[in-house]
Amino acid sequence: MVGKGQTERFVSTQNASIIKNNTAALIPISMICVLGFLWALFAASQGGDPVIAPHAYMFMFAFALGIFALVYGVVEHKFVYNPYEYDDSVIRAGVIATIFWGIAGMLVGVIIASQLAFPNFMYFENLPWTNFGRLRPLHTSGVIFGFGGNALIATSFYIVQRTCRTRLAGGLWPAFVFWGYNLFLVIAGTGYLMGITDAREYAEPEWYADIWLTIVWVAYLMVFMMTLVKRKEKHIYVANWFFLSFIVTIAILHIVNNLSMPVSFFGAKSYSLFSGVQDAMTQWWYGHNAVGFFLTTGFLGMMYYFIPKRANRPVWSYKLSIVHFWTVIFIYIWAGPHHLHFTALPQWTQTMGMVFSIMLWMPSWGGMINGFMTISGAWDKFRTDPVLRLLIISVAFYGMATFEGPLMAVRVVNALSHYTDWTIGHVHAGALGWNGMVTFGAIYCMVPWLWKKKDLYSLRLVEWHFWLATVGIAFYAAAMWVSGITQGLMWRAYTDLGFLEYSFIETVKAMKPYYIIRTTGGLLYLTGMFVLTFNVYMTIKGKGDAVALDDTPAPASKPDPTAIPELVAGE
Amino acid sequence: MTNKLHDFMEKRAFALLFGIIGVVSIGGLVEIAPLFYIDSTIEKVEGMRPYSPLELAGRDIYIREGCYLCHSQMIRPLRDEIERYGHYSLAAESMYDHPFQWGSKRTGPDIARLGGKYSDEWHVDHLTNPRSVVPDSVMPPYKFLATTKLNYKYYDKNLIANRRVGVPYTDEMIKMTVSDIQTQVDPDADDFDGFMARYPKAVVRNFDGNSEDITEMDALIAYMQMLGTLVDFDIYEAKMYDNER
Amino acid sequence: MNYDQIAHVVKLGGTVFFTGFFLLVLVYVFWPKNKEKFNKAASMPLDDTPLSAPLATPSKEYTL
Repeated sequence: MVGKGQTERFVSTQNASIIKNNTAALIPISMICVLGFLWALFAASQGGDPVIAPHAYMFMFAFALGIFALVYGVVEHKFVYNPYEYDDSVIRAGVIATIFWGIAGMLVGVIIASQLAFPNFMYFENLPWTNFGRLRPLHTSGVIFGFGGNALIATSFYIVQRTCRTRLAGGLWPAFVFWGYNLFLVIAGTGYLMGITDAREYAEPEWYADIWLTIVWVAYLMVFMMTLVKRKEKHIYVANWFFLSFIVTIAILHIVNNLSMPVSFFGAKSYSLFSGVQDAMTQWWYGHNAVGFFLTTGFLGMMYYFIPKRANRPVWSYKLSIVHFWTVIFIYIWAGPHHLHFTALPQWTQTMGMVFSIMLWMPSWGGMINGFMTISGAWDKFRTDPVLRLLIISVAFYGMATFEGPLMAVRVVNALSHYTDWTIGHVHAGALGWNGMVTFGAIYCMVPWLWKKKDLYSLRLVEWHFWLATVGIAFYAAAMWVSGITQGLMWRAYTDLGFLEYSFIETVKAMKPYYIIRTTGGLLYLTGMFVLTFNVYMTIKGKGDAVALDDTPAPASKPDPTAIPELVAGE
Repeated sequence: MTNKLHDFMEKRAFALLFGIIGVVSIGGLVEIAPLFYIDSTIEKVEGMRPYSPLELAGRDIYIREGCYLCHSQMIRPLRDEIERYGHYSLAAESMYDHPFQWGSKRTGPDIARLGGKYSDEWHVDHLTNPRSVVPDSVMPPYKFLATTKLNYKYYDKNLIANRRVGVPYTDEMIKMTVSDIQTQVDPDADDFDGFMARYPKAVVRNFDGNSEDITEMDALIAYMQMLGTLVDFDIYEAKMYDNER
Repeated sequence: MNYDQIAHVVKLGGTVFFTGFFLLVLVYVFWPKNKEKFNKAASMPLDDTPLSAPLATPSKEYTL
């Protein structure tokens, strides 16, 4: 008999009568798999164009695997769950996928950086798929959507359950979101290598991959929303506001920016619905807000959970978090045109983009201040706990990047910085410093919690990772600042007689030392990623300090993990 | 009142959701929507025409290989850029570009006005091995383009897709797609005059120097040789205030 | 509509909307009654109780 309150606490995780079946999502998910399989079958046989065939077979394989998994799960009674436990299996998978895509994306980044530094050694004329133009989208998508996206899905699911004190909604849907999202990443990444791209930066996958992502993303939004709806806490914690704005805005941006006309319903190629100036504006409205809502608000959601948690201090100013939430999401969306200064975009749009970009500075720093001040009174931990240091330094990089961004959005500065490596340096200060380090911090926090270990395998290795990453960023950003400003100045340099001083190729030649330094910086950062991987692996294996904890969620009064369920129930 | 409003929103997840949607929609609507109906967004110019089928196929290759990641096609109205690359780019010059290819980074130079600046032979050599003609170049080699036959048997479908999104391809243009591709690499072709009437100012040559096959090299060079050549800037003059830059 | 009209409407409308919206958020944030709620919310991440434990305060369903 399951009672209320105290009794239930002990019974709940053990008693089979609480275990529920998890089948509500079976029918829609299997229908998606069947329809997807049929489309892929037609695409493989009809062949709208030759390049779609590999993707058609990959889709067929994935959907067949999905159907098999569903049948297997039903037959073997795998789809049962305990409503008194958080749904962490999908989060564990998300952490591993984050690490996998992180290594893949950063490795490709190091490869393309060395292609620019050593073009004679790193290009292979008989392997078109190794060329810079095809690998570069693999790098950007790999780190932004592979590494960042999986980290966001994992942490948002982790945080929304804890702060709403309820299990994830939707039964099998969270798993669908995870596997569907990673299928999208595989389709996108392999597509770039085959030359399947619609040439929209950071949104390169073709129309069918976009439609698949839309399905997955709507499922993600619904899982998140319904978890909020069934929460047990009255107030919705502010991290969830950030996550919700990330999920819903990315949905809007993704759908509008990818509107296009396929050449054939069973072929890969499509042409954008918009053209020229409207297309440019739509793309950079997307591109800028992918930074704003994917790489900023999503990761701020992470920050607002893991920094207070790790420092064991409440959020410094909850009021500030509300003010800067609304102002960030309101202002960010206007700032896209600063990517198009001095172009054929109408001047009024450019001016608007510049003004809002400068306004964006303050609300962005609201987040930084809140992150910093949350550990005030616990600054000793900054020295002793390298995980907390990763989190705090990430906020410092966030502050730096959000100061530099408005600066570069000013027209006169942009006239110099645009089209140069300065932009690349800016992006990487944000991506490596802010997104990378806050994700590392979150991973180091979550892994012992998720795999029920006392601590990480080794905090010393975290220390190593911290310094590898920091020095790597310093090399990278410094090299790109110098190369960007140098090249910008060389382009506009005039001789005394009033002629352009440098030919274009002379400015390329001048970049060589910086490209080598940049590659070194990237290599250091990637090395740090390998250190993280090793540390996480050893933690999961339970080595070093990662002593296995009692995995019953009950309080300390019940320490014996081998206790027989019946005994516990009778306690 | 506001207290109740926000209290309402934070207690009700869907109210929060719609609040967010409302707030983030405004910026996009204000900035993007007017571009579609303000007349001055795109200048009225003479000479713009849809891409010939071979040029469009070359553009597809340009996109496929990710050229836009290192080459911009947008000359800004700054003194050094105009002297280096030519007249600043007009919105009208990319009015048939689905998608636009303005680019965001110049690891290589801007190529908005590349057409006619170099010979076909130079382009073939440069694409085959960039460092054979520009020793300090960091560009990847595209030797395989010269040996890859262009797949154009059903290329009319690509023109139809472009027409569906607003490019004014006529029925005749679509019907003649395959023939026009063959004509553009063969100056002695029977339909030379008809082709030139459909696509004025098009360059008709055997671009890759190989007369046996129509290769992807032909298509890409055909595209690059027409870039920025359609508008005659000897006679162009900005007619409206906001087009003067 | 020409450039000037569009620019005027957008600048004026944008400013008015943004200022009004910002004021609303400020009023909410500094509303005295909300102080306690925010203080409680600021500590939400620190709550470590497992899902199987009973809630400190009786739970209601906060749905639509």
